[in-house]
Amino acid sequence: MDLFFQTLVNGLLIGGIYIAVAAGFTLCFGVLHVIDFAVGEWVMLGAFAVFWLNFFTGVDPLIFLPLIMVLFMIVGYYFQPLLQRVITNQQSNALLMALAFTFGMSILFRGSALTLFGFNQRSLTTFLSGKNFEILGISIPALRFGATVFAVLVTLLFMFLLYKTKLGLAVRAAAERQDVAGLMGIDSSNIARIVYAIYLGLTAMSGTFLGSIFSVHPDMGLRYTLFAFFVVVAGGLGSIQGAILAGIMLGLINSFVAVYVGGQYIFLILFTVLYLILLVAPKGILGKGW
Amino acid sequence: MATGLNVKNLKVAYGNIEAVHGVSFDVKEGEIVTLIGANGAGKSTILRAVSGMIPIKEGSIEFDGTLTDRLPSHKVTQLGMAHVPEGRGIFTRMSVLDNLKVGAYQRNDKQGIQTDLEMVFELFPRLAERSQQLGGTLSGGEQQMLAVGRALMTGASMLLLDEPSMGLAPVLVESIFEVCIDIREQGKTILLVEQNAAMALAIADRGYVLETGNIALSGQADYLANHPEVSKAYLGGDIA
Repeated sequence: MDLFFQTLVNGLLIGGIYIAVAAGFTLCFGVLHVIDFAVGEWVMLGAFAVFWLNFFTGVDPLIFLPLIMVLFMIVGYYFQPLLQRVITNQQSNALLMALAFTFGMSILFRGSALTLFGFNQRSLTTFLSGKNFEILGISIPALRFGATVFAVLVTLLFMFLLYKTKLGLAVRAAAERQDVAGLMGIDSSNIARIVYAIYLGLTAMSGTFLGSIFSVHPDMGLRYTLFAFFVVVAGGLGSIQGAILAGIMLGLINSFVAVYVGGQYIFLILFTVLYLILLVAPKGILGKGW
Repeated sequence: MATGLNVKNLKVAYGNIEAVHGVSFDVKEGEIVTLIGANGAGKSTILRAVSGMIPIKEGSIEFDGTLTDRLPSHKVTQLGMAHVPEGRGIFTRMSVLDNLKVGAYQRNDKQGIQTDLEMVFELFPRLAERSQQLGGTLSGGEQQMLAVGRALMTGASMLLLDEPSMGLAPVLVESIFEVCIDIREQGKTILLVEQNAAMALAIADRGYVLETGNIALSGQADYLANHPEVSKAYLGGDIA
């Protein structure tokens, strides 16, 4: 029974980080209608960015979190117009173009990282690494706990922004009807840039955590791209609440499969679960709706 | 400074297909002007071009002394023109109140927004009753009220209304047109696109009759209402 609770806690703790990726990824899909195949590579780049910052300065990786977030938000804000051009510039099939473009990006990023950094797995050591504390006989790794708490707080902040501020109102309007949002005086193209910036900030932040908990290497991304797909489809395309639920579920499935079945079966089981979810609820857990 | 809307030689194309072939018209401040015509005559296309939703091919659009034909829609809205699009374009996943707040997105005058919100609720008491309901759960008539209310919340001096009567029960159609008159009495200008030509001409000052992307006829509303061609083609009567 102890093992069960330990696994449950581990699953919830890792699920907290997936939530941050899921929320950003879903928002990006909802507003830009772009399924970003490179999401895992942004995780990887976030992890590498913090790795090199740590390598050259010796300062604790977690201290760099705010910097990483801001840095990737800036990247996202200036990168988005390029993506926008590719997907709307007289293209007849924008969704397909977006897939092809982001898929190409992911290959480019992964290939570049491999060439520049090599195959080596690198580890990030933070001030929380290797520390544990116990609650009710369950040992809780401090790093995972800290990462999850931080990720959940950031996600809550993000939800507050989306539902309680004027900017959030504009984002939700643009997500539902971009053309009508324009008629309300909302600059949809700028909203799209802001959304992409937030998405990259959240994703890179998660990369820092995932890199510290596991390891940093050029191939780490693919796994998270598949996870992101699971979360968005299982949660219901475009539903943030659904994605958050699915993110927690993903953490739990990961944790239980690793302990009770074997880590190599994770994708088999994950996508079987997704299949079953879609059989029962074709629109995903929460369907579409904010 | 010229006020109102002045459209000259407007041409609009979808790809290679030209839908509007050089249309000129104007709407003076405080007027209700209607564009009437059959399905596919280009009425909605003209409104979309005027509000910047779609690019124009040729011509010029001047609103309150500013050339707006190259501006994106959010800039046009900021100049004081509000377009109530065909099909209403309600944000279905937002509450009625949030829909109205989106309307006021580009304004910063808290006081003015509050005054306009009260004005909208007075004009449409139904919206006040349902302010917490999701936009998507409203009936067709209520959605139309919300669309007009939301446009008023932009603080616009001019409203473009695209088929406000579409799909509504006759009683509701009448009340929507009564609202148009109320809005005009507040000093606002209205450009009204309608298939319900009889109703539109009853409240309008002037009108233009569109046929396949060209203006076929124009004049005072009562002149058009009594014009044999118009009454035959659009008013369903052959009184002539």
